[in-house]
Amino acid sequence: MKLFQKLISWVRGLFAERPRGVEFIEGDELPVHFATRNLYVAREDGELWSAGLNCPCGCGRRLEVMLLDEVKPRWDLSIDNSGLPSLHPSVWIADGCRSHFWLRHGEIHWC
Amino acid sequence: MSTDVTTEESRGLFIEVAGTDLVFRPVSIADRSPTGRQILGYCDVAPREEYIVLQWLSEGDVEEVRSDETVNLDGQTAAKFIVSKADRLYRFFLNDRSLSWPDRSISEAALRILGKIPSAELLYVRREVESDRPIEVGSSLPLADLGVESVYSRLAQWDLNVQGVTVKFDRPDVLVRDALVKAGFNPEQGWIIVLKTRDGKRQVTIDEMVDLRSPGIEKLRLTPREINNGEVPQSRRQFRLLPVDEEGLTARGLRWETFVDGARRWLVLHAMELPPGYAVASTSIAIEIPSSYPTAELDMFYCYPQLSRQDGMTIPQTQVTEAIEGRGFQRWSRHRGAIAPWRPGLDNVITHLALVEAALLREVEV
Repeated sequence: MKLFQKLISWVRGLFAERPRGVEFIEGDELPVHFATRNLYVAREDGELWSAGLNCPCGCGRRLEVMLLDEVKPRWDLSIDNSGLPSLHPSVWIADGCRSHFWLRHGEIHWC
Repeated sequence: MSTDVTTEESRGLFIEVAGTDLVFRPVSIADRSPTGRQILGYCDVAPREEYIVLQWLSEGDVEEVRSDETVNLDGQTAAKFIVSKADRLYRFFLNDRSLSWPDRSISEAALRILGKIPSAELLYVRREVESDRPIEVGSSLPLADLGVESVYSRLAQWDLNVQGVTVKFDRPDVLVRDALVKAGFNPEQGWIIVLKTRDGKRQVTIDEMVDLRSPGIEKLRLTPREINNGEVPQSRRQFRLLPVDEEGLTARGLRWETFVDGARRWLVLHAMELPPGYAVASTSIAIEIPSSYPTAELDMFYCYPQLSRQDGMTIPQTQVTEAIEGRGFQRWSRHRGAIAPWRPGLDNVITHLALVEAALLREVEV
């Protein structure tokens, strides 16, 4: 029985999405293409400029949101003790796939 | 200042002489082929061996005239000489002309006179490794460093980095829209634009002017405005405003929506802060957008909740209530009139908003 439960949790682990990590890019801009599913963050002199990721719906779109204090609209980035990122508030794409989701502790929560 | 002594009778009998300040004065001479030593004698300087004579040739070069060298002044109109106390000469190039100079440095003003360089052009010293260094107005260029300096002039030019593309302008005041077009970006696409300078950064709109005069290369950083901040999911956009309106409203941090009620088109600005003196601190403001806007003018505005003054005094011309989506907005009959008529192509939601804010302030001004 115990072995069976272990097997189930192992199979689940194979299909569950691993949480997304953070990659910092030195400078005020993000790369044109994101190589991984991580959240990319442009940081210059300790100041956060923007965060970007490939759209989690799989449409292939490159998303970028601003983190600068001086800019509107803007988002807040927080990173938990495990190094997993959260964005506040939610991300809502105005056209195309119109994805609307929260990024919390590296995981996508669809709205 | 220099005097042109070129009349038929005096030709050859005068030369013009200046020090390193290049303020020329006429000096009369007895001979059409004086030597350097004789020129020093005409200038009445002593001891002569401590002075150097330079001739400023009409082509622009400046050359030394040695003490026993003869200058032929036949056919020359008002030959110009620079006479200065010096024990050596410093060589440099000015717009590819070879010049000798009797001082360790030369002022920017003297460079302009010698090179006949108009004030619209800037002066630069060529540098091998780093980028060429500008010679600021009022400064001077040291000539005693190793090597022969090369100075050139060119029309003033300002660089701007637009999202990695460097564009050049011949004037320092630049419209953001023009910069985007010049760099190959579509200004109508909708951008979050951040102007980054050495002093900091700020968000700018597409119709703002930026000043490129401050030192360092400014940068316009672009991010597509395609993602909504999830904080305002209820904001409706049932019809589009002008790009300048949408940019301006968003840049001001306003929460706004556009919708059609019946056959009328409304722009509603939420949570607009009011000046002190009203019974409430904020209100929603509705502006009717006629279908032929921006040719047709914007007129009046509407408030919900309805406004009243803290002191109970009535506010004139606000007695009519307009139902917008079932809510009773208070109509403020404020019209542009003959003093500030609607200017199609110039006026828009943003300029109308300035009138709205002025009208709201006027009622509670002490």
